[in-house]
Amino acid sequence: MKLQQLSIGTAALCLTILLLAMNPARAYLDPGMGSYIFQIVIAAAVGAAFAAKLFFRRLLNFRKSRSKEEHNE
Amino acid sequence: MSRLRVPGSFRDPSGFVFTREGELYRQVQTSYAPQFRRLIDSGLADALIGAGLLIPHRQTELVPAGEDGLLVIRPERVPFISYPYEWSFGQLRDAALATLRIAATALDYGMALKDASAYNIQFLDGKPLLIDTLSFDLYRPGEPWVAYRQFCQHFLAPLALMCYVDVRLSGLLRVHLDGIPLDLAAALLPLRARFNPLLYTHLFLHSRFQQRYAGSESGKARLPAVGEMAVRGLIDSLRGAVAARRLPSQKGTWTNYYQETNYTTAGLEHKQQFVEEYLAAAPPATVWDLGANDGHFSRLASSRGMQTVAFDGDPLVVEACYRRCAAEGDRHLLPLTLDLANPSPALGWAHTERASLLERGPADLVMALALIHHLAIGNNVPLPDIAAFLRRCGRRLIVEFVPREDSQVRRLLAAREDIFTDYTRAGFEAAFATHFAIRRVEPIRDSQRLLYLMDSCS
Repeated sequence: MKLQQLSIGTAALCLTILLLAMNPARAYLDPGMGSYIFQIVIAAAVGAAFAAKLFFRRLLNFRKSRSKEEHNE
Repeated sequence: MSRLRVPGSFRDPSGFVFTREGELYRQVQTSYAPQFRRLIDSGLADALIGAGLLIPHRQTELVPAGEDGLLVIRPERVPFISYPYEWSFGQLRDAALATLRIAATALDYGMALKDASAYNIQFLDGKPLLIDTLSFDLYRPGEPWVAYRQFCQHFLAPLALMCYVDVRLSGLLRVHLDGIPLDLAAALLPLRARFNPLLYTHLFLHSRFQQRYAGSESGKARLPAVGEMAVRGLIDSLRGAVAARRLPSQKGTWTNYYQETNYTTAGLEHKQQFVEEYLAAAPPATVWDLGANDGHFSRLASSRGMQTVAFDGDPLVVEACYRRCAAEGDRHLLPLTLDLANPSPALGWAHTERASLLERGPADLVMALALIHHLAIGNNVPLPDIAAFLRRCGRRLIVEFVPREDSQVRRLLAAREDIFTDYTRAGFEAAFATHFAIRRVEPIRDSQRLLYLMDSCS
């Protein structure tokens, strides 16, 4: 959870700096496109963070089962 | 044999809901055939129904109406329809987590949740589940989660506002039926909310992008693909953002009500006994407890298997009631936030999409305990008007008359001019006799309050 927060936090900071340099377009009706594009922008960061989370969880489970076996012997 | 399309069911071309001879049905259109087949054949429907996340349904032999009809299914009926602006913080949070679980599970079966509307969730047996069986689309690799915006507006924004600003801001959902616009949420949230990376991303940054690209014409075909791991990561990230939200422990006006009442122990027991005896002698199928507070008396009905809705105007007290329901696994009690002097109106297109309180009644039995004085004196509602309203709420009534001499009424009158000349026992009985037949009167022990049993007369 912390790793995810950190990576998302860093990505968000970079994006903000980028955004501050842009001019805001006049608000129109459909907010859908903005959300769609935003998801694409954060996709890499959330994807990587989640993959890392799954990896560490698998690692933790593997080590847990290993120590259980050693304990039982 | 006539079928009536449910007025609010018009947005989704995949199908619609209708009633026929008092039963509820959902017609599936041929355009949705591949998705519906995949939903059933892949095992996703069974998995979600088994986990208590999707409303069970049965196939019927009914012929679908119109040229585009494919088939008709019959979903299980939810005893009482409720709306996100009536839910407590915990209910909205649990509904959000259920939505995300459904979205994640769908991916396991090659499908995607195309809607993350809070109105697709209802409470059945005390738990939130999806009632729109046609919310699923085929998952196309490379496609982002199309329901992301809706989830942030319907769930994450109001939850954040309830935590960071005030629990009463869920009322904004009454005004904004497609969830709270993100720019509004961003404007209302305090500075410190921006320091939470997940909220910063999904609310603040998200809102900036919405405004920046609104009205943009870039064709979706030219945009880069989003991998499945990214979609799963997004859903997991939102789960983290929702799960971390906690209400600051606030004390509501009514939190310690039962410590501050003027009943003696004997009096409270007497009142309880009276209600229990009536419930046992004439068991109602459905109960509305108006001004239920923490559900103390509602539970007398729900513990007997009667479908009970506990309404109260204090959101923190409703939250406490819901937490207790969840802890005790109460399957028959639904606590909801409702200001009786301003109950949920009919909302949406042509006032037909979201039903008013009275449109969702009447109940078999209404309990109006320790309530009348708040309406009559606290809100200046004349007793005949109260009687007429309660008549529309339910067929039978347990009502407590709190006389002028009572300490709570004197408290209400302390800083005001007493203009309530008709607020007497005689005035009360006369007002209610127009709409009800008074069956029994019982004075509460050690108190001047009176309990009445009434049946409505047509």
